Amino acid sequence: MIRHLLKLIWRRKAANGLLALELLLTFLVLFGLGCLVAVVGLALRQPPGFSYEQVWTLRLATNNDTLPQEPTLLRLQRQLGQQPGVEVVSLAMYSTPFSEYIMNSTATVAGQPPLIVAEVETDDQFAALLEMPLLEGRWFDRRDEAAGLPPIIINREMREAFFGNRPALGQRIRLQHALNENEKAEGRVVGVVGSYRPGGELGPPQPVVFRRRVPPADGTRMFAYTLLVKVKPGTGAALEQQLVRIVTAITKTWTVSATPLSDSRALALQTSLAPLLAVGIISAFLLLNVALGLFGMLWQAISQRRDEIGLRRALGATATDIGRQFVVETLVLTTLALLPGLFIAAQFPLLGVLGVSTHVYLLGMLLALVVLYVFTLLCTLQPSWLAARIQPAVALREE
Amino acid sequence: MFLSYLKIAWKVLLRRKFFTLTSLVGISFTLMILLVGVALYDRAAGAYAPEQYPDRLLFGSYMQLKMPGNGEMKVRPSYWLINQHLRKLGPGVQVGISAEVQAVAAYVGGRKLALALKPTDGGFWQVLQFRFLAGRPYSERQARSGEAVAVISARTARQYFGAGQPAVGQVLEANEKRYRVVGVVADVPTMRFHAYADLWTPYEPSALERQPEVPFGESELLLLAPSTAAVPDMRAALRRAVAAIPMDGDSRIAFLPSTLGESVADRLLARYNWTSKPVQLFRVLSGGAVALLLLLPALNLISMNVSRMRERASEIGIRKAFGATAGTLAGQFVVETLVLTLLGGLLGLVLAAALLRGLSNGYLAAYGHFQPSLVVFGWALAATLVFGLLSGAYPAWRMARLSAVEALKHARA
Repeated sequence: MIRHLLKLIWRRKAANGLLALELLLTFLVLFGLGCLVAVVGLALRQPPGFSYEQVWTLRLATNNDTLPQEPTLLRLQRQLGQQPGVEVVSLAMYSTPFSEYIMNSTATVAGQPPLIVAEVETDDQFAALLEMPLLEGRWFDRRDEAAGLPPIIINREMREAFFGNRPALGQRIRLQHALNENEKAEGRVVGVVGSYRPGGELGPPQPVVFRRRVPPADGTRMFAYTLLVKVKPGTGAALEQQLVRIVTAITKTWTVSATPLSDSRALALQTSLAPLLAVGIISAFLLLNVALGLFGMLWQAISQRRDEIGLRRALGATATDIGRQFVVETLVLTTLALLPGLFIAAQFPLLGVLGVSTHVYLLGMLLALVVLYVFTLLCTLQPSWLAARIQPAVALREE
Repeated sequence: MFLSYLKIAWKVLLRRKFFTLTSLVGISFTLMILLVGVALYDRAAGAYAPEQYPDRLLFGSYMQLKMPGNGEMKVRPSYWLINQHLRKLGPGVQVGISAEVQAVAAYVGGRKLALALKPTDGGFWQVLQFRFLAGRPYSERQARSGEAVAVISARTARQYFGAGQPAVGQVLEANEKRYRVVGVVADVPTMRFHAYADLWTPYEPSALERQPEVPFGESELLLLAPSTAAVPDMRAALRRAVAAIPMDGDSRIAFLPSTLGESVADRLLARYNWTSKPVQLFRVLSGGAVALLLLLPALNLISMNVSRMRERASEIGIRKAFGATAGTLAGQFVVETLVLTLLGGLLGLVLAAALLRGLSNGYLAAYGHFQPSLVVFGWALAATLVFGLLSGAYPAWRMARLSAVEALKHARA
């Protein structure tokens, strides 16, 4: 059966060849789209590990302030916390949700290869403010002030990478700044949180380590600080103005910008979805062309093969048989076109050209295959139905 | 003769409705997508105010920092570095400095007005040609002393002071700081990110960027050459000036100046950590997309033309029998293809204009006004004509060479 169909396809090789080339190109673009969808889809399935509702980020630039910064910061936190409408205030350095300021460190544990991790330096309120789920142990608290070895909290990705099924609590981890060899720290794991992803729902899962912030020695000057403020529902511009006013009044020279986390999240989503939209538009256009090509070719084929159809009907083939023949012929042609496409697509995971997991490529291929097969099937239905309606007597008389 | 060709072509197009539809849709959609894409890019990188002379502009947003043992890093220069070392780049070269926009807030009657503030020096106003609706820019002297003055956009003026109210000389309070408005400029679309802001002010005197011996910050260098021919000299002068900057230890820095178009590609792809060479990737991606967009309709056109000619064997046979030469017949088929392509092209232009009009009024209103580019329309139409002729010419030539007997014998109804 298949051999016979292949022979039929070969007899019309000029038209079929062009169509196969179209199908191949469309498959490759759909494969790209499928991979993008797979990346986004896999990321969306997991929660980001924090809640962004009613949280504002206050980014403070210290503008070369020469006064000691630590007392100012303490006063600021106290004042902001006392505002009616404000629930909690937390100070965090680097890798706060949707932040572009990231600190990467090399983490090492005895008997394990080193790992690049994102580091967050923060205080006791951070986890409660962002409603982060705690899987093991506890978050930082006052007990840690007297601890001999500084406490460390890790997220789920880091726990899996370092400890697997073995217990994580109580283990020692050494950290070294990725660029500055002099910045080192060591600590003991006191807690494990869920998979905290600073990039939000569409950010990549990554190992993150949290360190409890210790007030630095006098005279240490930082360029910027980030405060997270959780506010009561229903508060708006008036409270924001009030907070900005307080910061200006207390710090004199610092500048501040306040952004709701929900705004930052919308921007991050837009960034991630833009390439999807672009490739999607191009794919839709290519599919439209494939549809036109398929319709044209099939109608042409059916009008030219009326005698063949008439003969088959006269010899006892039912209308369904005729319809099926055209559908299967198109599907065989699609398969022929997709084989080289799959071969090309398979090179991506085999060569590992882009740093994406094999899952993504497989899902991408699957999505492209499904879309293309369903699409060609839909385009074949109407012409096949036309072919099936041909009356043997009429077709043979014309001949 | 030509007129009768046209008449026949029109009749043929009407008779083969599906073929006509396929070709028209293929050609017009291809042109529409190309025109819209290029219009968007043109809005971001074409010659519009404030970047009136893109050929003469260079932007130094990033430097390459090479530290022994630590590899390479991409960093942005600070105001101090540019101001101290890169001010003198040859006769006639204008130098400007600006920083990334900062989100600041102004409050008007209990409402928050989110504003983008761009710190600049005085030279910024010489490099870029803003259209001033009222007042004038602040001077280099004012910028140097960090005076609390501001140039604001027309939209900001309208939202803060009210429509029709004078803004120049008034005080605008943003982030608890009081700025005296010295000028109002026409709105700049956000796509024009080198110039875009709602509020332009001098750098704060206390800003970290301005402190001596701080080489890295969040600024960029803007350069305007006196003429297009002087741009290579300007690049060379910049390279020399950067090489002369004294650095600690064995560290070395190099500027990576880019043209307006390159910086747009850079910006589009910089958000995605896909590559370290965004300009090349952008070229490959857009080139690939254009090739695909042209290739698929062309394939359709070819396959349709081939099968159509076979269908018209009887017509060809009769005309040959009555004495038409191969040349006459081939000419007729070529005219048919031309008519079809031109019709599709016109349709595409209309579609693109309608879509861009819709986009300018709705979704992309913040990005300015869009128009389809007629130059691109010409090129794209030429490309489809070439495809159409290629696809039409070969079957036409083959069929025109058929002998009359042969054609009539194999003809089908």
